[in-house]
Amino acid sequence: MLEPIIIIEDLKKYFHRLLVLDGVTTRVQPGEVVVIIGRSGSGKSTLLRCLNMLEEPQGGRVMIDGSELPIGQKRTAAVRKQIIEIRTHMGMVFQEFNLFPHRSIIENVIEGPVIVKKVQSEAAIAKGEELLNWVGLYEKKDNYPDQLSGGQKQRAAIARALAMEPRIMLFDEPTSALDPELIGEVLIVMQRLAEQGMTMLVVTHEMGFAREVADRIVFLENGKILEEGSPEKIMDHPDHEITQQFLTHIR
Amino acid sequence: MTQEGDPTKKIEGLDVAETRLKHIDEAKRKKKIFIVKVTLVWIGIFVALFYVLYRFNLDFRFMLKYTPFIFKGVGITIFVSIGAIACACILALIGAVSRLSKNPVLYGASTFYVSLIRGTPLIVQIFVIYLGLPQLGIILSAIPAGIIALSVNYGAYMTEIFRGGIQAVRRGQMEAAYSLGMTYTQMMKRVVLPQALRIIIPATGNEFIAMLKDSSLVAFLGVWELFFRAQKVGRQNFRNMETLLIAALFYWMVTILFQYFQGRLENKLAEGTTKITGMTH
Repeated sequence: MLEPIIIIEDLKKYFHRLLVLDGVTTRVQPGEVVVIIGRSGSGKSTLLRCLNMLEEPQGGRVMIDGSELPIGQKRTAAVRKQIIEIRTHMGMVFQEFNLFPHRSIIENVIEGPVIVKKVQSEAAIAKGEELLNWVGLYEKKDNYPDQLSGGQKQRAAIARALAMEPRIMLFDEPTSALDPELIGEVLIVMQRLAEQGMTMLVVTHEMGFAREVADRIVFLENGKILEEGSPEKIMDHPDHEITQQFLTHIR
Repeated sequence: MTQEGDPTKKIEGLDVAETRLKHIDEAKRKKKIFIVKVTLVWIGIFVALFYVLYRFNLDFRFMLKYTPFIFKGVGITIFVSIGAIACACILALIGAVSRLSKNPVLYGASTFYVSLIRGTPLIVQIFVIYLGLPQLGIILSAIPAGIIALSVNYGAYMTEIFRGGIQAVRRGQMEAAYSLGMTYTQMMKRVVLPQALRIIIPATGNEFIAMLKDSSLVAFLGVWELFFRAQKVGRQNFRNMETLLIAALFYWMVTILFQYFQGRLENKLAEGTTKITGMTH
């Protein structure tokens, strides 16, 4: 068995006095597609955001691609550098897209490589155009985000994250803010990404996607993993009543 | 009576078009009437003003004679104001970033600065600078002293403007920047500040227009700007009202000029967005 690319041990996170993550423990293999489901407030978004330190956990251990996350450590210059290093190997796609409105699409895509990785402009633009073509947005490269539809914005956001050549992609409810007819185009891109072997953690309610693309489904409840397993197992014969109830609600 | 291409429908179409034209003409007419009415109001106000001025028994030949001398102050006023607003912007940027920082020195210093300077009158600050700096051994000529006094004062108010602009940028922007691996400085420079400028620039324009008038106070530091010259000539000839009115008129004209520029700047910045216009119901 290969070395896991993500190891999460007993992850704990409080928001003020609210315990949002109550000891999450799991592993992710390279190339695995893990779909995380759960009720709102169950901690799924927080879990994802702890992995790239957008949220600071209060306890536990996380290993990302061989590097240990500096949980609970004082943010010295060295620690900050370490966090940046880890972040550059992970890409994140947000529910609200979060494209930079004052930059064109191609400028959005090259922002990461040029500013963070100090890649030359020409090389970054060439790679960026390739990526935009791959997500089907080449013609829109000089447009601005507010000229794009929701589905196009999200595909652009995926291209922007991929431009950093991450080893892991985090998706935080990528289609929840989209009109139904626009969801498909984003899921198709995500499926193609999975087929290329990207390690993906996806928080979503799109159970069709989960069944088709996920290698494993993780059901989060009250900040803990209640159960996890293959899509067939979780969706067709889950162990827990709560899981079954939840699935009935989102079908 | 039906022929091909139902004539009743054609006539209806004409009716619809005619009614639409009627509405457009009606709206144009109403707008013209409104403009005429407003102009009449302004004319009425001017007539009243002139009557009041007439009662002041003004010496118009005197006013004409010294107008050029007073007018020379306009350039200095504008120069001092532009210099001061530029320095105030720098102070405001440092202040705002400090106010938002977790560093106790930066946060403590900036909150103290804002509180003290916003809590004391500008005229008092000017006199403290005028009387105090020499006692500390610092001798400044008038114009630099004036620019410093105005920058320090306006910097405090504009710190809050800059801070508001920065905080108005959505949190998701910051998160996207960080997930790409940007440092705090890169994020502020490339993502947050450019977007914060949408709020900061119009507000700074307003501050500048206010500063044009507040700059009159640096007359007390010996700067030969508009108010100083008006005072000088007025007092020397015992004709204060005349000179002050001339100065007032120049301030007004300069303000109108810059307000026009600011309007154009705001329109340029708002390209691609829809602005709220007056709806009274």
